[in-house]
Amino acid sequence: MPEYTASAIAAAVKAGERSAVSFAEEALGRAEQTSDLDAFVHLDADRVLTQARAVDARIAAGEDPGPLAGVPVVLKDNLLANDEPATCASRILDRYVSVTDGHAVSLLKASGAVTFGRANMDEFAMGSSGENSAVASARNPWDRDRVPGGSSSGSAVAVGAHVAPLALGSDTGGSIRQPAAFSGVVGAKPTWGRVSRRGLIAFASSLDQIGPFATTVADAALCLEAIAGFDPGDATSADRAVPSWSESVGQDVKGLRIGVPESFFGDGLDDDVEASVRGALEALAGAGAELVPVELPHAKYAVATYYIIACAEASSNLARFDGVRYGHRSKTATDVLSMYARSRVEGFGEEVRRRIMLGTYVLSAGYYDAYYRKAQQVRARFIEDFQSAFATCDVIASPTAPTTAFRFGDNADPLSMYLADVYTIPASLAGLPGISVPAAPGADGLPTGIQFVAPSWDEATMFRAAGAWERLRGPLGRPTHAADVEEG
Amino acid sequence: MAIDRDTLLHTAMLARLDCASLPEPELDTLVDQIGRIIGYVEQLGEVDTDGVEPAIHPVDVTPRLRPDVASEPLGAARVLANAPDTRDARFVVPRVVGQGADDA
Repeated sequence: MPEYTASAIAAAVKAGERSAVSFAEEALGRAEQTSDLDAFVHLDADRVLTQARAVDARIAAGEDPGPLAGVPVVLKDNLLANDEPATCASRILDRYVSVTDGHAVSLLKASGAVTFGRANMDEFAMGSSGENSAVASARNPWDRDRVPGGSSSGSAVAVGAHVAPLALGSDTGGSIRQPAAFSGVVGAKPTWGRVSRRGLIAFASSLDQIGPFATTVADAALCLEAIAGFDPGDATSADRAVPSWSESVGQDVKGLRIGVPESFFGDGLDDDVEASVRGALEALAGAGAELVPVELPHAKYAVATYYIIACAEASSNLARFDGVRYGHRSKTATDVLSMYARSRVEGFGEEVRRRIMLGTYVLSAGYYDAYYRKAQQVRARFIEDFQSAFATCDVIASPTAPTTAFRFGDNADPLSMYLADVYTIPASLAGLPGISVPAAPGADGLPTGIQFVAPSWDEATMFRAAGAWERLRGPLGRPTHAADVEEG
Repeated sequence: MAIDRDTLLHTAMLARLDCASLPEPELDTLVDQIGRIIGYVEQLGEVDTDGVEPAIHPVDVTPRLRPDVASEPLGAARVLANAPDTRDARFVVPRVVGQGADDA
């Protein structure tokens, strides 16, 4: 089999050419080989094989398990999967076991996929490197001394190191797109409301979305088709039919208007990343796309707006971790208030505590109007900015991140880490779909990413641009630390 | 705008985080970091937002009620499955009423 992709695996399983168990065993072997990359918080081989056997039984009975039949799909450790641990890479949930499937996970299983382990992440999805994990940080498959990006660090690594062809992550301010760029894979965030958030342990409810990591745009589209759709159990889930995005991936870009925000190419952008992204834009123009300058005038306020809103919502969402019904309960509690306060300070890491504090502060009496309400008004301006931009273009292209993967410890100051999300945050604030696709590597051989952002509900155009660029770019090299494969 | 230590500790109390128990240097660092982040986000004051409705959601969300029909509950067993301390079908917690000095 030439390619380790979801499409190829599902086809082989459905045609009876290879068993789901054989793919599961192969993926487990690959995970073992790359275990020093710490992509996983937890990986239960028995559970993987049991699911694979069930898929094979359905094939043997002449049934169609679904479009992702037998495909190993890694789950970020903030996605509930029945009877599996869900720790959010936090000590406060270090022994938590889910009692239900989240909605996206149940759709994934219904498509025939085999859920494959619990992926490492920044604690409670708060981070842009993977370093905020309460267990060891995941490592970049291209260079072990560099971060894979975050917060969906392990998901990006599992796919980037060719352990599994698909992974699910979550994206609040860039937590799928940025690690995809750093780790050399495709990562997509859908329109807010496109994928149910029921069963995603909440960080910031007006920003969170679940999305796929893949090695090809076609696989990302296939995965998103499987998990998207209306869920009455999520009050913010959109009651909209799921288009066949796979059909958009092969379309050409003749006449496609690609908006280029020049302000995204200014100070702070690595020369190599800029060169790669501009090269991609030229190639797309050569293939018939039209490059259109656009402006997003409020872009410089993106990080500030995001951190007020996200932290405020996080302070509310994480209030449930109080030692009462689940999670860590302090042994030094003397009464109920000290149980809350000590369980939380013991169980949450530094970055989580910082963000809860910030969120509590901006929501507190006397500050609410100046910070939280103001940020929501600026957010409305972001939405207007994008609407104006999309009057003259069909999709907006930019670098995904301002740099390639940095070294561990390089962004120890929280504020400098926050600035890593400067290009991904605007789409999050406006609820727009965005995808990162690898562009040409930098001079140091490290991956770069180009991001395409489309109007709400127009993932089709996002996949169209992404697929076209991928074809123009051609194959990428193999990461240094990818699992070895004996080509058969 | 720097934040002072008392404000930080008050915020921590609101957030039910026992920051007063943190070692001094850690507390000082936290005061500094949060102060700088708040200083950074204050630039939003520059933005003209006169008459702008706050965008609580990025896309329009219509509040939706589900039909008033009984559905399958999670069940006590599952709800209690991860609890630190239970008795019968209840979560057990330290004393709520009459707390503090009364209890040795």
